[in-house]
Amino acid sequence: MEDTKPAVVLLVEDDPGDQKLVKYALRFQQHQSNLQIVGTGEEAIEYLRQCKKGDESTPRPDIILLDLNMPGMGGKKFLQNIKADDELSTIPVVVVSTSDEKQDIEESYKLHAAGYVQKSDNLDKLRRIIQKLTQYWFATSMLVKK
Amino acid sequence: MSVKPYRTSQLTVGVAFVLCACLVVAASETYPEHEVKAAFLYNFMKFTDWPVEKVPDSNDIMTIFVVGNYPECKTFKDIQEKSSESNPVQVRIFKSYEQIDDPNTLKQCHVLFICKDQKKHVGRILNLVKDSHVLTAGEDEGFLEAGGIINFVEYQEKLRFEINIPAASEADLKLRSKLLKLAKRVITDDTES
Amino acid sequence: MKPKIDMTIPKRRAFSRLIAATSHNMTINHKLVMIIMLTCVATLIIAGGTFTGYEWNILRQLMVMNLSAQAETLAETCKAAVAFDDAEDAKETLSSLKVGPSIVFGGIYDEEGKLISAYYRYGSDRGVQPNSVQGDGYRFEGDYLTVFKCIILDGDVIGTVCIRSDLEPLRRMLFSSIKIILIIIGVSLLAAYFISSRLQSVVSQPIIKLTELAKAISEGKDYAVRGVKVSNDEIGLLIDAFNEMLDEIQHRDHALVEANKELEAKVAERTADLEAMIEKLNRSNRQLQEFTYVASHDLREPLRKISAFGQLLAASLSDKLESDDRENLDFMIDGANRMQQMVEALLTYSRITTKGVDFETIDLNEVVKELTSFELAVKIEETNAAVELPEPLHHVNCDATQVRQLLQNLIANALKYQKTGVIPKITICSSVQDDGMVRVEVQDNGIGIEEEQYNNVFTMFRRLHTRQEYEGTGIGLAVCKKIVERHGGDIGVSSVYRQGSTFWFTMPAAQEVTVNAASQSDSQATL
Repeated sequence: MEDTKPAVVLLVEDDPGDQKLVKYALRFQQHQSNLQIVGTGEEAIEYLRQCKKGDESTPRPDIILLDLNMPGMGGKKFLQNIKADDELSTIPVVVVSTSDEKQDIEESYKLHAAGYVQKSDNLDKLRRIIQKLTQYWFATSMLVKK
Repeated sequence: MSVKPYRTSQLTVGVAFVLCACLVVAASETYPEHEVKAAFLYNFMKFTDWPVEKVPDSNDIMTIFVVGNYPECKTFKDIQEKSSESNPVQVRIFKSYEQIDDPNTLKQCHVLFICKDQKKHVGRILNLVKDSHVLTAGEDEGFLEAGGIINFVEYQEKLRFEINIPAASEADLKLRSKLLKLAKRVITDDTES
Repeated sequence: MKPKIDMTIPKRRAFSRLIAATSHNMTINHKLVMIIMLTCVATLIIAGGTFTGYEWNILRQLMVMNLSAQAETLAETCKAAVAFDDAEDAKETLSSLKVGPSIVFGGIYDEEGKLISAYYRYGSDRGVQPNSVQGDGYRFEGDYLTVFKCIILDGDVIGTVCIRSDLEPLRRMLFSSIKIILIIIGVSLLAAYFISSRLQSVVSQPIIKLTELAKAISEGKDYAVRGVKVSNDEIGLLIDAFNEMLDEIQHRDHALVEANKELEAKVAERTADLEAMIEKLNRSNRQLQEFTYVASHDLREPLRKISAFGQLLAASLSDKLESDDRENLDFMIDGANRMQQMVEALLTYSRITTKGVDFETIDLNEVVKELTSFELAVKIEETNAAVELPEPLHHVNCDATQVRQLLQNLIANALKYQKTGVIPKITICSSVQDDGMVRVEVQDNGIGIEEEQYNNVFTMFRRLHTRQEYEGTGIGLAVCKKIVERHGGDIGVSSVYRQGSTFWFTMPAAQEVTVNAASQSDSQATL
């Protein structure tokens, strides 16, 4: 895989602080990423619908970073929905959550999450994780291209 | 025989011994036969009832006169000693009828015993005391026929007596049947047994 | 010489024991009848005996009178014969004695006691003559009654009459008398038996009824039954008293049951109260724990933000800030970090009870191996430490995660609190206690702890050193203590200051452990 084209990262996160942190963490990555941010599960669904239509303004994400703790349709519901969709289910979803509860982790994997990361206060740690994440997915995995 | 003088001396001793014995015997004053007679006399009194005028009180002194002189008669004196205080008895011994001063004194006695040696006086004495309620006793054969009331007899070597009842009733003396029963011979009014 | 054995006393004892034994088990009926019969027998025998004795006496007197009269007559009759010593007449008089069948001898003596005449029933027997002659009077000699009468003639004793009779008529009369008396006694006893048998029921019947009543009550436990009073005597009183007693028992029974019920009600009430209180306490405890959990959980989020953005700021403003400002910012971030750690610690602490799982058998050797291989691997390698198990550790019955946390904390501490330059040496061993707990000891060669601080080290957030000396939040040992307490065990430390410490804790042993230990100690004992 060539790292010429920036990878599209869809961040589904309601907390602005966390949004910023992720943005900050991605900034210092080897591979450039095109970060798209939505605040709720519904917005994410809407974005992806737009993707399916082939809207240029809404590029199809190569990876979705999902927060579980969101108002309205929670992270889990969103995950359920997206994995139910034939087209969208191929997008890897990595859960990024404050919770380290066994229950949440289990459920996430059961709902076919590709990974589970705990939000950390340590910026370096966050950056390293995001780095590893992006490296892995962008460097080692073939992503489905539209 | 050389023993002859010895035997003669022995004989002499023996005879002398026997004589002494006789003397001793003679010297003692026990005449068993007369003792019994005395006792009988005493007892006759007890079996005889005198009329009241002769013996007003049963405790009165009873008198026994004995007429006779042979030594045996002396034993009658013993009756007096033997008599008890409740029934006192006086005994007088007259040696012989001839010696009595007053023959009437004989009337005073209750019992009159005429010894055999006074045989010849028997009749006279009996006549004398005839109405004096005197119990007359003798020891001679024919005493009862003479009018005496009791006569001593010997019967089977034992001293017994015979009784003349009519003579007793004439003297107004009642003789108890027990006495009569013991008599060897009893002369009654109608029979001579 | 054999000692004489006195047999009299034992016989007496045996007799009285016999009486006691026979009467002991007799019913009242029999006892009453026996008493009455014995009384009757005794009285009849006494009466009969007395009467017989009396009769014997009378008979003797009669015989004496009879014989005396005869003697007197004889004396009178033979007076003259004796007076005039007429033996034949005397003999004739004596012949009248032939009439009396029991007269064996008749004799007339003179005043000197010489025999004048004699009559012998059995002619040849001269032995019946009396030994001595006496005056007026009589005497019973052996088998004969001898009567003497003086023959008195006008107040003077001239002789003595003696008549001797055998006691045959006496005996005959006595025997017939006794026979009759015995028959009478027999008949009376029969009558007594029948009457007493009938009448004894007057006394015994009420007693028997009462006895049956008492037995029925004691067997059936029915205290409602009452005795019926039939007579106004002591038995009637007894029945009354008995009934009163039953009333009393019933009342008490009742009262007891009531009291019991009351008590039970009260107990139930109190139990309910207590249970309610326990429930309340449990609830508040749970609420507290939940609160702690929730609070610490929710506190984490904002703290994380503070920390993260603080770092960002620090990163971007580092060259733009004065050293003073930089320092201020650092302090702020540091504070936030520490607070985060503390909140983490609280969360962990509260999780021990809220997130605890059921116990299972855990092999501590495995746990230590995993810890040294994973969580503590880095630290061990850094310090070149040695973690040794001289002997295999015993299995315990516990929460897997928590015991892991426990051991991790202890070993981490051992590695951390070291003098610089000293290679940490940690020795872990275990033993089984009598109370079924396993005691695990973690020994190190660290800096040690002063004795006054032994208890303090287990207190939450209490640290003995500054963050400059050794980092740490001060919750590690508090968490260990909570874990151990959750398992019903105990924790403690003994130390030699500056040389090393031994931390120990007890946990429930796994089932086979106690069995093995028991057999081990047994085999050790026999050795």
